[in-house]
Amino acid sequence: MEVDILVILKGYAVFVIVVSVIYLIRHFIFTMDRVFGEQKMYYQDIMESDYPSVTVFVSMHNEEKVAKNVLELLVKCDYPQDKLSIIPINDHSSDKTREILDSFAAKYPIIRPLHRDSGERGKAVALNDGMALTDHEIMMVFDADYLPPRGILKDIAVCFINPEVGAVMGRVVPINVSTNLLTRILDIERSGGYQVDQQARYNMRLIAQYGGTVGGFRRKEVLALGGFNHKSLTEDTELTFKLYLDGWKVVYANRVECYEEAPETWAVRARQITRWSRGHNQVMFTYLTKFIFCKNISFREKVDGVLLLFVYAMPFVLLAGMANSLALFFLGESGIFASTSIISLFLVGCSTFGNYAPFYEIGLAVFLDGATRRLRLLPLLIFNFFFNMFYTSKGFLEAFVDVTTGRATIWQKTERFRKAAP
Amino acid sequence: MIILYCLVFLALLILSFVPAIRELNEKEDAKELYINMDYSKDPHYFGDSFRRILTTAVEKAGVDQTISEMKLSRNEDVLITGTYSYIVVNSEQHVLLCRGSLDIEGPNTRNKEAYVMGNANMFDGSAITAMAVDGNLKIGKDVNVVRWLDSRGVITTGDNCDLGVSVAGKGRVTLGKDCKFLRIYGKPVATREFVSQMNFIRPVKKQQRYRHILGNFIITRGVILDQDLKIEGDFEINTRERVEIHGSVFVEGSVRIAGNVLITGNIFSQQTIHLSGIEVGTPDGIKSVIGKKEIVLSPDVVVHGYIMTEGQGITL
Repeated sequence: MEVDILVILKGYAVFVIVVSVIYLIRHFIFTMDRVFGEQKMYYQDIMESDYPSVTVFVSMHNEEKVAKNVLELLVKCDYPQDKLSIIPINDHSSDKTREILDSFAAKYPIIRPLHRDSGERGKAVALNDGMALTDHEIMMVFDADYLPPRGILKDIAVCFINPEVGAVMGRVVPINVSTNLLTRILDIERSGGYQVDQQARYNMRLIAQYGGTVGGFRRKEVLALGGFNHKSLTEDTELTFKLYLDGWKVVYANRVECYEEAPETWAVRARQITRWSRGHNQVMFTYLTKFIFCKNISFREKVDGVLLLFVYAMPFVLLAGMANSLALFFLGESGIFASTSIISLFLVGCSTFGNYAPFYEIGLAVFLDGATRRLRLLPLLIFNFFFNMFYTSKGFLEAFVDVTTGRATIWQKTERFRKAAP
Repeated sequence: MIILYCLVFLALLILSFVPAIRELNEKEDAKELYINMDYSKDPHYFGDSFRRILTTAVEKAGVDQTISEMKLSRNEDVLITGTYSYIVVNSEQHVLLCRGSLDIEGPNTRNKEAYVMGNANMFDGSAITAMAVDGNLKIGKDVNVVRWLDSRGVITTGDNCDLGVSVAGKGRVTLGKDCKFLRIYGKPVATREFVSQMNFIRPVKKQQRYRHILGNFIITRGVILDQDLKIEGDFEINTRERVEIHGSVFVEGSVRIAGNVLITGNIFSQQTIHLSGIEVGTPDGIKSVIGKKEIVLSPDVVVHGYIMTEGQGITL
């Protein structure tokens, strides 16, 4: 019996190293692609007089701190007014969000607020209700704390001229960078995630991911896929995989940039990352098999898609791996790689702390962004790594319970910190 | 000895955090990444910005028909002329605001930026950094543009010109042969021998589903397609018969079109585009031809809107 447990423990250690190295290679390839690879053009250079009709959704639950900013910027956008409507969705707000939306509606005919005072709360159900109010072709989504630039709607919409594109994702840039350690770390983490990871996946024709904000999707096609799943906490990730399964592509637009407000407290960040992990892992449990056996997806897309689906499971795998290595150490069995100790030390050393948003992706991203002094912050990522590992693992376990028990999920909005209009 | 090792280990560990802690405290690079919140896609952006900056500076300085130093993007000498026709040989030292028409002499002349409120002629062999023209702009052969040209009228170029980064005309832009370009906007942009066959268009109802071609797609006989195309390989049209595509064409490979072709939508390629005997777009709209690495235009091409490449554009 003792031998069996040791075999399992040692086998798991090997498994952790192998999957860590796979992710290490994946991120290394992405980084090298951004350095040496051919960069694929996005479509924002297309000039077009026949833009599709667009509805912009801004889902709001108690957003009085930020609602005014996002609406003021959206009405300033240069999109043809006869093809644009803006539907801010007041989702069970108890603050002054309703009054703010109504005052904008009185002033701007293109703003048509949707007040949701009853029924289920959450972004997915809110977007479904919003889509029922419009017959426009393209739906765009911004979170309430976002600050869209003047030309962003055109830059997103023009991509849908490409007939294979089902959704478009832009780049999120934190505006409250200098606030504290957390916002500085999130800023460089975002850079790595968008500037290198997403762009490389777009270059290599892998699975670019729709992130649910600073982006858009085709209304009819999404409705044909059943709209958004009310139970999903990451309706954006779910939409990405539903679109690929149906033969559509998701495009990442690195130059379509928009400011957001990053969480300023660790407690808020913990809730956010837990929700992301829980939702993403729900999608993983639900779509993994369908994705692997889908005929609409190329082999390379399948490989990347599977790795992407497991991204939020990996911290749990690593956490369990660390516990596993401690157990092996105290059992006096940690020398499982004695014959290849240098190689194993290298592999474990390279991958242990770098799996989630690896250092070299972030390092290259801040370099490409011209913010090279931020490179000095890289060692601090280790704190974020352990923090993320814990809460992502928590989300993974919650998702596992969700899927196995079918329990209901409750949407939790990320708290805002804005004090005055920027 | 063990204690010493531990201390060295701790010191090296802490050392790696010193630059990070310093950056956290001093916030030398803690500003948000820059996003131009007012950016709006506009082919006349360069020209209109330059006109605005220059006229505002001149108004502010309160000077007329003289050379004065004033603040543009940096301090510059500006030569202001009257409403008469002005001939310039070399204006390498100053920016020019010409209230009338302007002739730029060649060859081997070099000129800085100019804003011309009338028409402008650039004679053979002349060169200019950038020019905004309210009227028409005529360019001779062997002219070199360093940055951009912008006209509110029509633009006609001679042969063998280097057209810089951007050429934008509110009216027709006609290109000579052997011209190099990166971005051209016009209503329309045409090479010199083009004859429109737009009156032959029949009304079509575009099909909803696009056509997805996994490999190369070659059209060798006359056909009318009422749908968008997404082609994973190369795209080629090679026939003398009429080909009409009522939609846009997105190609991962290269595009080579020669014949009697109408494409009412956009052409977008991640590789190269070679066009001959084609009309892109319709006179009442704006469409684009975008080729990442190269665009080659034969003498019988018209594009109602915009042509752009990151590599090299050339006319034959």
